Order: sequence, then C-alpha cells, then structure tokens
Amino acid sequence: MKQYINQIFSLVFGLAVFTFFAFFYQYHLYYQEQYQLFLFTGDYFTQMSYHIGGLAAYLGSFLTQFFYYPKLGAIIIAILLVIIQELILFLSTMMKRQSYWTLLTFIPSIIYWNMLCDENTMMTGVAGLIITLLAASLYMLIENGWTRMVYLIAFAPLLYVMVGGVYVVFIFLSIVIEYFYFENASTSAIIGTVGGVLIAVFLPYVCSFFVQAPLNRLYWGFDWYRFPIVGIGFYLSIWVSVVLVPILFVVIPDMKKHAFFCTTAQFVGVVLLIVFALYNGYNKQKEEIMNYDFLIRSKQWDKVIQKAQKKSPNTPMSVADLNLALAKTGQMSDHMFDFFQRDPQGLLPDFQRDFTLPLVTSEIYYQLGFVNTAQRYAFEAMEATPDYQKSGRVLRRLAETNLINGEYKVAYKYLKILQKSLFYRKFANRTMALLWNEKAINADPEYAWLRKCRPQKDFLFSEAEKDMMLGTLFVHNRKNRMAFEYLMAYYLLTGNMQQFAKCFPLGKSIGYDHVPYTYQQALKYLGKQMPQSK
Amino acid sequence: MKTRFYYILVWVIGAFVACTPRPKDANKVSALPPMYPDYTDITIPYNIAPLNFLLRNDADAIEVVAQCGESVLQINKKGHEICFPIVAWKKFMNEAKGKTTEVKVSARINGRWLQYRTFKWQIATDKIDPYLSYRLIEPDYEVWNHLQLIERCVENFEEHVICDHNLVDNSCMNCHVYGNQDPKLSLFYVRGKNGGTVLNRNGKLRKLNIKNSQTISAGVYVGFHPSGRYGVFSSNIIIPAFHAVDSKRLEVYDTKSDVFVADFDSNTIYSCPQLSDSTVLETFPTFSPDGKYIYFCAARRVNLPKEIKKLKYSLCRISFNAANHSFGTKVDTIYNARLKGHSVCHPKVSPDGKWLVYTVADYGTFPIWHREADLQMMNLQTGAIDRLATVNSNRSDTYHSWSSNSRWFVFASKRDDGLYGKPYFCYIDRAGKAHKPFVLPQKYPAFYDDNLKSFNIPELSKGKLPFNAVDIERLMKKENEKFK
Repeated sequence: MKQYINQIFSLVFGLAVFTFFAFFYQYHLYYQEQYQLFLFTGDYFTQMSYHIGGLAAYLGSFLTQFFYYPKLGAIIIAILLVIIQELILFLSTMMKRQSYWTLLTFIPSIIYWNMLCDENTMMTGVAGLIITLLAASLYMLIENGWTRMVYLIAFAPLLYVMVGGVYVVFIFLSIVIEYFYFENASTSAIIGTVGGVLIAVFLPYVCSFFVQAPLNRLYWGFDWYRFPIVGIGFYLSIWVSVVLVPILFVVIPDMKKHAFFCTTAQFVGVVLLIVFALYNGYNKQKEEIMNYDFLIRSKQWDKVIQKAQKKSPNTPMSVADLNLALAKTGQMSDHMFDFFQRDPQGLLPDFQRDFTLPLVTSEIYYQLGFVNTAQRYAFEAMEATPDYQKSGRVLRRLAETNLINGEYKVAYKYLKILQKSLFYRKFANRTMALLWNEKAINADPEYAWLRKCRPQKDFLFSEAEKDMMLGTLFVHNRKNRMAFEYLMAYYLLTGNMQQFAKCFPLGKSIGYDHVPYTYQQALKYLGKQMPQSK
Repeated sequence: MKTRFYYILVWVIGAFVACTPRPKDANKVSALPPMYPDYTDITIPYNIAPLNFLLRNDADAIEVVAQCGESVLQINKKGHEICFPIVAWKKFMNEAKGKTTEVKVSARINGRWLQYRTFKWQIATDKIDPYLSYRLIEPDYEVWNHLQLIERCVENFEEHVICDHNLVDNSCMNCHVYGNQDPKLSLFYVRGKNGGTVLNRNGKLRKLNIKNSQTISAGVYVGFHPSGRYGVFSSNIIIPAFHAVDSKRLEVYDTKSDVFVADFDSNTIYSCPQLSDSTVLETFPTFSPDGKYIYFCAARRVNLPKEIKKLKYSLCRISFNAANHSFGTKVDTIYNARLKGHSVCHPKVSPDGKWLVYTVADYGTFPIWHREADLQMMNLQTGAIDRLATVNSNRSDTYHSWSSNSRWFVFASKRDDGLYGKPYFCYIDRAGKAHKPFVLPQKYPAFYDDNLKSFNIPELSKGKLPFNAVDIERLMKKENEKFK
C-alpha cells in the first residue's frame, strides 16, 4: 500500500479535478470551446506554429476542441494536471529519492487548477509547461556533463520557439538539476549555467529584432491568457512554484521520525490549498450565465425555463436568455413577469464591443428573423475575441445567416472551413447539401421560417429605435408571434403603455386563444389609469 | 562503383517519371478548365509571380502545358492543385514576353483523362510595378481585429508587415497610400491615443497630426502632390449604419466633410471656400499627375440617414498653384451625378495624365459594400467614358491604384463571393482598351478559399518600402508634429 501511496494521491487528485470540471464547471468548458476552432489542416498548423510558442498554442487549441463534450474536457484537464504533478514528482524524487515531502509536488497543479477556473486561461500554458517539464526530465537523464551543457544551450532556443516564455523554467530547472542532482560544479556546469542565464535574459530581446511582436509578450509568452495584457503574477505563480518544489525537496530536511505527522500535515495543507484555490477561483454566477447560454445555443428552451423556475436569473444576459426561451415556447405573453425582469436590456441587450454579450443578442435577433442583425452581432463577437481566434459557434451561425440570405458562396466558404474541424463537420456536411437548393432550404422548418420573417424592404437598422424595428419586422410578417411579443414586452418594460395599447390590436393576426395574462394585467392597469382608453 | 551509382540514378529517375501522372488517351472537351482563380484568356505582365491554381473538380492528377513558340512550360502533378516552380516560370515568362501563350490543361478524373479547351495568356511587355501594399482586414462592421498593413512583392510571394496592430496597441489603421508610386513617399494613419498620420518621405518617417482648428477631423482620404511636398486630404465625420435586408451589409456615410491641402515642409494647412462649403460634402481628393489640379467628389448635403439614397457625389476639379499654394476660383464638374444618376468615388488619374478611373455606385460614399459599384474610365482628352465591361463584375469593383507606367491598375473586387475583397490587376493597352483582369496569385492555390480577410485599398509601388512594423512601433512612441 505504502509503495503506491503517491499514485493513489495522484489518482484521487485527478478524480477531484475531473469531478469539479465535469459536474460543477462544465459550462466553462463549453464556453472555452466556442471561442476557437481547431482545424485538421497543414495551413492551420503552419499558421498557429509560425509564432513564438506556436507549438504549445497548437496543442492547446487541439486539446480545447474536446471541451465540446465537457466530460471529455474534464478528463483531459485532470490527466494533464496529473501529468504536471507526476513530472514534478519525477524531477523531485530523482534529486532526493527518500523524501517525505512528495505532496508538495501537487502545488503547481493546484495553482493551475485555480487558474483554469478563469474562463480566459487557455490550455496553451498547460501544454507548454508539460513540454518544458519533459525537456527538463530529459536533461536529468543525460549522464555526460558536456552533453547536458550542449543540450541546454542548443535546446533552450528551440524550446523557446515551441513554447514561448516558459522556456526559462527549463533553464532554471536544468541549473537546479545540475547542482542538486548531479552535484556538478565543473567547467561544463558553469558554462551551461552562464549560457543558460544569458539565453533566458537575452533571447526574447534578440528575437524582438526579427519577430514583430511586443517585447513583454516575447518575454512572457503568447496565448496563455485570452487577453494580451495579463499581470506577470499569472505566469510567475506557476513558473516559480515549478522550480521551487524540487529545490524544497532537497533543502527541507527529511522528517523520517515524524513521517506520519509530516504526511498528514502535507495532506491537510494540500486539501486546504485546494479548498482555497477553488474558493478563490470558482465563479458560480459566471457558470450560471454560461449554463443559460449553453441551453440557448442548443435550443433547450424548456430547460432554460425549468432552471429559471428554480432560481430566477438576474443578469441582463441570463434574463435575455430566459425571455428568448419564453418566447420560443409561446409563454412570453403569459409568463414573462413570473420572473425577475430588468429593463429592455434583459430583452434585447444593446450592442457592446465585447465577445460574449453580442453572441447572446445574436441568438435573439436570429430567432426573431432579423437575420442581418444576427449576422452582424455574431461577426462582431468573433472580431472582439481578444486572442483573434475564429469561433466555431460563430462560423456556424454565419454559415446559417448566409444560407438564409442566399449568399451561398460565403456560406460555402464557412462550411468548407467547418468541415475541417472535428465537431462541426457533421453540421457542415449536412448544411452543405442545402446550398443552391432552394427546395431543400424551404423544406427546413427553421431556415424556411426565418426566410419568411426577415425584412424584405431595406431600411437601416437602428438600435436606438428597437420598437420601430420590431414593429417593422412584425408588419412584414404578421404571423411572427415572437416579433409581436418582443414588441409588446419592450413597451411594457419601458413603461410605454400608450404604445402598448396602440399596438395591442395588431395581435389579432397571431390567433391567440385567449388574451395573454400579461396583456390582461396591462390592459387592466391602462383601464384604471385612462378610463377613456377602455 | 560508378556503374552502380548510374544504375541507382536511372532507377530513381525512372521511378519518379513513372509516378508522375501523364495524360493517356485524353478525351477532348469543349469546356474551359474549372480553374480557380480564373486565369483563362487573360493578359499578364511578364514579371508576375506564378499563376498557381486549382481545379474545382475531383481531379487527382493534372498536366499543364504552356507553349509559346519553342518555349514550353510543362508541369505534371498529382492532386488538383498546380504550383509552378518559380525559376522555370520566370524563364518562360521572359521568353514569352510580348507574345501569346497557349495553355493546355488536362486532368484525370475517376481514372480518365480530360483535355480541356486551350486558353491563352497574353504576356505584356509592359511591366507592372513590383510591389503592392494593402490592409488585411476582416469584412467587419464596427469591431476590428488583427489588422495589418502588408507589402507584397507581386513578382514572387514574399510579403512583409508594414504595420501590425499588435505593435500599436491594437489600434485601427487606415490604408497605406503612395505618392507617384514611389516607395519613399507614402502615408497612412494609425488611430488610438498615440495615433497619428505616418508620413514616409524620402525614407524618413514622421508622425503628424494633420488637423487645425478649422478642419473637422484629421485627414482621412489622401492624395500626394507630385512634388511630395503637399498632400490633399479630406476631413470627414464618418457614420456607419447597417442594412436590414439580405443583399446589403453596411452603409457608411459622412455627415460633414471638407477638403484641404497640407504642406509637409511648413506644417501648414491650406483650404478655400470652394473645398469647405458647409452645404456640400467634399471628399476623395487627389492631385492630377502634373499637380495643377485637385480632383475630388462633392455632393449636396441631404437629410441623413433618411435620404441616403439621394446622396450622390459628382466628380469635380479645381486648380491648384503649388508655388503659392493657392486654389482656383472655379470648380469644374467632370461627372455630374445629378445628370448621370450615379455617385462617384475614389477618382485617380493615370500617371501619364490620359485616363481617369473612378468608381460609380447608385448612391453614397462607401462603394465597397455596394454590389452595383463598378469602375469606369474617362479619357481626359476626349471626355469619353469607358464602362469597363470586361473589368467589372456583378459584385463590388472599387478602389484602384495605377502602376507607374499607366499600363496597369490594381483594384479591389468582391466578385468571388460578394464579401471578401481581393486585388485584381487589369491591363490597359496602348489603345486604351481594358483587358480581362486577374487576381493576385498566391503561393498556395487554395489560399483564397481559406482566407477570412479582405484586401483593402491595394496600392502599387515601384519598390520596397524603407520601413517595417517595428519602425512604426517606435514612431508611435513619439509626439505628433502639429499643423497650423
């Protein structure tokens, strides 16, 4: 049992990571996946790996595509975090075979677990760190001092090209291994150390003359975080811990006599660290919002309402999602005020130069029949993505809007790209068959309906006049119940009861079997306020 | 030993030849090959990069034979893509200069060879300017991302970045334009808090704030005086709007715009009432090649955006005296929008002063999103207008730039899919006849299929620019030079 204790701890840790991401943070993984599109093409590989740290970015993107199925994503994250821990354990125990401090090797993985709770932390870093640790492990396996020196100096620049700034971890780990494991202070060690430090300090600077990229990013790395600007603490917390743990292994004296106490204390410490990391990193509200977004994206309207019935949403995004679900299930006019309503922002959020909110708004405009506006919001969301990745979700939507608009060549272009992905291929193949096939498109319930709903007469869309836009849309197709209900909801939420009363009779064409409950209440209120309007 | 070596060599060559697919019992068909890009029956400059292409069918092997007298360029490849070896291509083009080449394409589909109808390449002796600059941008609405200004050598596939958004705080940047097709005279504008107009003059970079208390904005559209000392700019208040119907995407219009001249020696702005009339929107200024005239577009103000379809720009001209930087008193109308029913944009005179090419659209000032937008060419000696039927497509064909010898121009066209703009080159022969245009060749024939960016404002130049993106990064850290 004792000999397997480390493996058991690793297994338990891996299961804990899996459980967390698979059952408590799964919508974060969906969210991650939708803001990238991994393509199985040589061009994509070339494009990704063409810059510093490109191989890590490519592998990160490859791994992230599997987040399309969150449980698969959770398995991947769990395995990778365990690999990081195991590699650090390998390096540490090689340096000091008898140690009672093995649980310290979990620290970097726990820190990374905490960082991965942030939806903007990319898998690039995980991939880059594992490659770096593998490179350091290889260094440890080289017996000859001069060979190690050559390996360090020759491989460090190559590693830099592959993984970016994290290559310094390789250099410092190599130096640590040289002095603590090989206990070598000969000429080769000194040359290796000096050479390694010089490479660590100057290589990114030298590269700045050849690579057109900001110097600070050449030092710290690309694609570890979705936003280009991130505090250096983000990198240092991982890098320092990875180098420090093997040093601590050697430096801290063994407490053989107090082994049980030592292991128990570490175990408690590790558990407390995990609790702290999750307490600090877990964001329930974001997970809720992402859950709503996922349900909308997958058109699970009833589940949205069921979820809201348990706890009414209160953010503009989730309220907008709920209202869309209510409209799609024909319940908006009866039940929208059963739930918390904010203001018109919870109905049709205003455009923001952001990569999240416009995606939700795009879904609403799409379902309403504002195909061009839906296309614009989706396109803008992709354009606003801070790491310039293409989004599988957006390209799918753009293919659909162009298909509906009869812009088949553009739709073809997007579908051709989606065909090169793993999880969008099926959709792309299915949709490709509809191109230039009016009969097939018109037989598709969704596309045919949206073709009937979309405006036929040109006008310039005005976000400041949403009621006018909705009114124009409804007048074009008086069977468009959703447009009518959004128009009425807009007047109710803005308190424009006169316009509500004026437009209420237009609903006749919808064919309601009763006066919707919300409208009854509004009419009753109007009756009290303005008896003449009865 | 030697014998053994030759034996191996023969074996390797034999194996290679055996593996190279060659047409056998090919069926002749009357159709042209379904090639993309469409390089059939075109006129090309002898210094152009290889016209690599692919076949849009299930071909698993291709043979291409280009023959011009004794000179033959033959290539056999597996797959459906053809990439010509650049050395062989250059040699062949030099031999075929000024002649007509017959190109025969055969393809193997489902095990059977088809030989398509032969087409022609007319190899012009008139060289095209070897460098092309453009802005790579997604065909976006309001949000931009990953913007770059690129300079590409059209004689091969080399390109380099002139300005990279990563190095300028992800700021938006306007397109790069040359003066006299001279790489040592060019300009572009970087927005953002550290932004400014980047002037490359005699190879020296300056960062300018071309604005004074009289101008309504910094310079937007620009044209250089042949001396390089002056630039003529428009200042515009630009508003984007979004169409609701399927066939249209974006509308951009000006609520205010004027034209002025900036002196880069004295950092002074000059204007006149004729170019800054508050009841008129003036824009798209450009100098005539002799520098004596400013061509620009002008429209009466209308109630925007409601009357956007009534916004039609005429093409006008006013004289300019560079010696005392004075303007003429009379504005000539070269193309009357009211009479012709179209709106004119982006006028540019050929360097020899003979031709004026401009874009016409149904209305407005942003033809890039008008699928009806076409190029027209006016003979400045006779006033005759050529509607360039062989050049235009049923999608937006717009912004152009002349080659220094006035025999070629490049323009941006959305003809492929209506969304992604690409640079097309058009030959104007000595008689003034326009030839069928062709798209900028790429190293990988499938490049345009996978590319999600538009090529904005393509501009030709005689040589390579003397700066790169890192120089611009450094320049952006400097203070702007002010204008009075």
